[in-house]
Amino acid sequence: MYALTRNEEEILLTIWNLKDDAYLVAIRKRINVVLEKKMTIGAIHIPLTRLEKAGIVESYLGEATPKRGGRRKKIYRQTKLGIELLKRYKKKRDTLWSNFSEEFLL
Amino acid sequence: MTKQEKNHKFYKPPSFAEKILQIMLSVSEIEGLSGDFEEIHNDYIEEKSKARAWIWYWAQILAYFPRYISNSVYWSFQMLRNYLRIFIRNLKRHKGYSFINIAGPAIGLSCSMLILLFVKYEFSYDKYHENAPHIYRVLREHQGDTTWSNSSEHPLAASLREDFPEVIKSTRVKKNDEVGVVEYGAKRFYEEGIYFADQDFLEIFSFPLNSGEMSTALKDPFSELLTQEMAGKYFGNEDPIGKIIQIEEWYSVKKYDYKIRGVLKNIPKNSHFTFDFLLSYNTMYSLKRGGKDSVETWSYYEPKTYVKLDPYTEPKGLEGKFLAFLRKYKGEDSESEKMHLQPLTDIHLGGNMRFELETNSDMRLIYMFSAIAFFILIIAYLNYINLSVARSAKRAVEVGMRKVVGANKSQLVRQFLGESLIFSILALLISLLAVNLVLPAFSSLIERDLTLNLFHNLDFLLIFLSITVFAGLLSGSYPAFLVSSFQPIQIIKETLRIGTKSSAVFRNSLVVVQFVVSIILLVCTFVIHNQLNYIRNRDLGFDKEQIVTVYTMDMNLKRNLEPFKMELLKNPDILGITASLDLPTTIRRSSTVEWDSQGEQRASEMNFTFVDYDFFNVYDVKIEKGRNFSAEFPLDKKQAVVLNETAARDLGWDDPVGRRLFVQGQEWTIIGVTKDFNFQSLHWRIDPLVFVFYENRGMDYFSIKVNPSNIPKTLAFIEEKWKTFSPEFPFQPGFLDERIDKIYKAEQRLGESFNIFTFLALSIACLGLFGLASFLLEQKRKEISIRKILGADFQNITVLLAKEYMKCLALAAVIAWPIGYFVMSRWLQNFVYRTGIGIEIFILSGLLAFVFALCTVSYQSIKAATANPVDSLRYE
Repeated sequence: MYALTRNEEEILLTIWNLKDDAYLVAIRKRINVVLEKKMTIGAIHIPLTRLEKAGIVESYLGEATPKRGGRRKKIYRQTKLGIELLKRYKKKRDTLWSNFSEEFLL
Repeated sequence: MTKQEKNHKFYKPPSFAEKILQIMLSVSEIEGLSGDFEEIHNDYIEEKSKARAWIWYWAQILAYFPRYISNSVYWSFQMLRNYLRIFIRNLKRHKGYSFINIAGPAIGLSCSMLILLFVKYEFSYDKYHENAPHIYRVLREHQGDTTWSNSSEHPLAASLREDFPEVIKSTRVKKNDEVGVVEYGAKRFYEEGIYFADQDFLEIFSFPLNSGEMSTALKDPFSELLTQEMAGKYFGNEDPIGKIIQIEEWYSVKKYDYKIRGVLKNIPKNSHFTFDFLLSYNTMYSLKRGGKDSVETWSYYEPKTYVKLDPYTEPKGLEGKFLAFLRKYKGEDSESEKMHLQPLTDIHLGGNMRFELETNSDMRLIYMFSAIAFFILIIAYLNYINLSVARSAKRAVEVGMRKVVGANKSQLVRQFLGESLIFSILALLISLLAVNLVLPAFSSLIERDLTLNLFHNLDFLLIFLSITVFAGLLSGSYPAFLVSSFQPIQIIKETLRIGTKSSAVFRNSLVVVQFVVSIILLVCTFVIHNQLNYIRNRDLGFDKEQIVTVYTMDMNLKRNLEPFKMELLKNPDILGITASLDLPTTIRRSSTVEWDSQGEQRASEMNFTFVDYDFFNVYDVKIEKGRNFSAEFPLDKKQAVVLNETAARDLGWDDPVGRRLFVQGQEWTIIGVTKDFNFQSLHWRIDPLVFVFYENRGMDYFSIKVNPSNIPKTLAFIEEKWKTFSPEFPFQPGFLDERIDKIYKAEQRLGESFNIFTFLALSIACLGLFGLASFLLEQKRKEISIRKILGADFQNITVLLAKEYMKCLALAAVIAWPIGYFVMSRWLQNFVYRTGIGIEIFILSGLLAFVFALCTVSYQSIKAATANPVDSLRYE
């Protein structure tokens, strides 16, 4: 079973959220906004390549825009294996988070 | 596309940076990633500023740079490692092939290195003089002569300097006739390198003084300079300056004291003349009986004259004024005399005139050697091309596999070029080693002082590195492009055929070229040897066998020859003895001879020598007209001369016997004419020669005719007598025929070098043929096996295999013969007396190449013909 890093997990979830628009720039933007951190292109691209190699995500070429100099987007999506993996991770995480309530913090 | 994007103006990222990005990204990433980069770039512009965007874009690229470099180095190293591994595997698996591929170019490179070293050395002659470009030797065309001569009149040097402001310095240089005895304390040696020179000598040439004052070194009579080497020989650790050394003079019979004014650094070997002792020229006034006036005369030619011109002078312009100059000093009858300036640096390679101070080399020799170097290299690298092409089928599977897994054509070309480069560089390393090993032997063969120090000869290394790289790439390119164009599908289906007709034509034409070169070299070798033999065995017109020559400086013996001669003749093994000024091979003195012809005064330059009564008998020279010198005619001692036929012809009388001649004012009567004989090397025609009878003086040589049966005993006898008659002087016998052989040393050297180089060229060619034959044989293995099964015998198969090469050889011979003939007939024109180029030379050269080739191929044929056909057919 492939063990996801935190980073990979976040990327995978972002891809899931972005659906058909899950290309590098969008993924990075989304992570930066939602998780409030600054990630470089490499920090996204390298895990993506790794995931692709492991067969967790796959990619296809999408539409081209003038902003990209007329080049097409490389859009990522989960493979079946990837979705399986996410499901499993959600279960684990939910279990871990289930007893957590904000009151304890106070 | 959203509305917002449509209204927006988008900016391109910096184009140069974008290009770098494109290069760095792998093919599959270019589309997605560079688009992403551009998008983010535009985002930066929207959110921040153009400058920030620009900085970000560049920073991204630069940050990746070190990683990118290390990555690509890593991967190309991996590829290289693979190429090398395959290369080494192939090297080991096909040892014979590898050997041929390395040995061929290694031999070729070694030969051309040796030759280049030689050529470089030859061109370095006299270049070390600071003033070298402005120094000239004066050449003269004597009256009635048609060739340039390097000897000039004594007053010429001084007159040139006085009359022409362009001539800054001038000096005469003269070698002491024969050898002198130099004496200091108990040390006493025969010395050959004694020269006379004027005061300007040291300022014209760069022969630096170790000690002593240059400006006065050659000023006074009886001043002497010697080289460091000689200083060590005579003085050891003493300081020679101011010491007195004695030299015994040929002219005056006396010993003279010379004061040493300086010590010269040793004379570089690459000088067209080298000397050990330098005497002031005005010493000669005291040495000659006639004093200064007999030296400073325009009537004969003796010293070489060198001038240093003003650097801005055009020598051609100066030459134009020479006619008037000669008329001024030599009078109206100097009409036919000419004068010419020969640049110092042209002398060594300008060939030999008569009376050179030392034997020179010849430009033609340089051309010949360079051509050999070039041809041997070509043969060696043709081998590489031929073998690689023939063998490419073997590599086809590898190429196919590489192509299938993604190698592109340029990668394969690079791989194969790289391989040939490695072969070439290996060959270079081996040849550098080999040259270092054989250089001493080669140096002594060609009699030059060659050294190879790579750190001092960087240009040399650079030349050969570029030759190696160039030849390696050139010879590798055809196989490389051929192999890389293979289609993998053909290879895998085994439909690829290398042995197609067009490639066979290509292969065979390379073989033809190799044999053309080999056969030309063979023809050259044979002609050179024929000519050498011809020279050696030609009847020179005098008897040169079994003549022992002894040189002497002993004046007591010279004054009293007869008792010594008588004593020697008592031995029945001594057939005759004569004393003479020169041996027939050393006659080199010349003087102006004047005579009256039909009431007209005429003059010409003629060689002369002194002989005694027995000279013509011992040397078996026939008297054509008149008589020999004889004791019965007392006047012979004072005024008789004998001429050779050429001299008699030049004088123009039908019967010269009894006529009169004038030499330097003295009158002589002609008493006889001898048959012509070759007293100079066979490069030249026979010159006019005057024999003067000259009793009891200046006879330098004894020529003793001995019985061939008992030479050691006879020599011992002569030595014993010598010790009683001339106890103080060394006995140094020589044989005349050996002395004659020495004259043709240059040709001999050429012959020997040609032997070696031709043999090597032929070996490389055959090495290649051997490799080629063995590979082609492998392709024909099945054919041969089937033929054998059907009843072909050994002979059939040998003929089958050899036929193709023999055709090549025949074609090569047809091409090579006319070229060889042309080249060698040009060479033979150097000699006045020369052998023809007979048909046997061509037959022999062809035959030899044929035998070599046949031996090479037949080894393969025997292997094929004796192999069991089952072995090669079994796997089908």
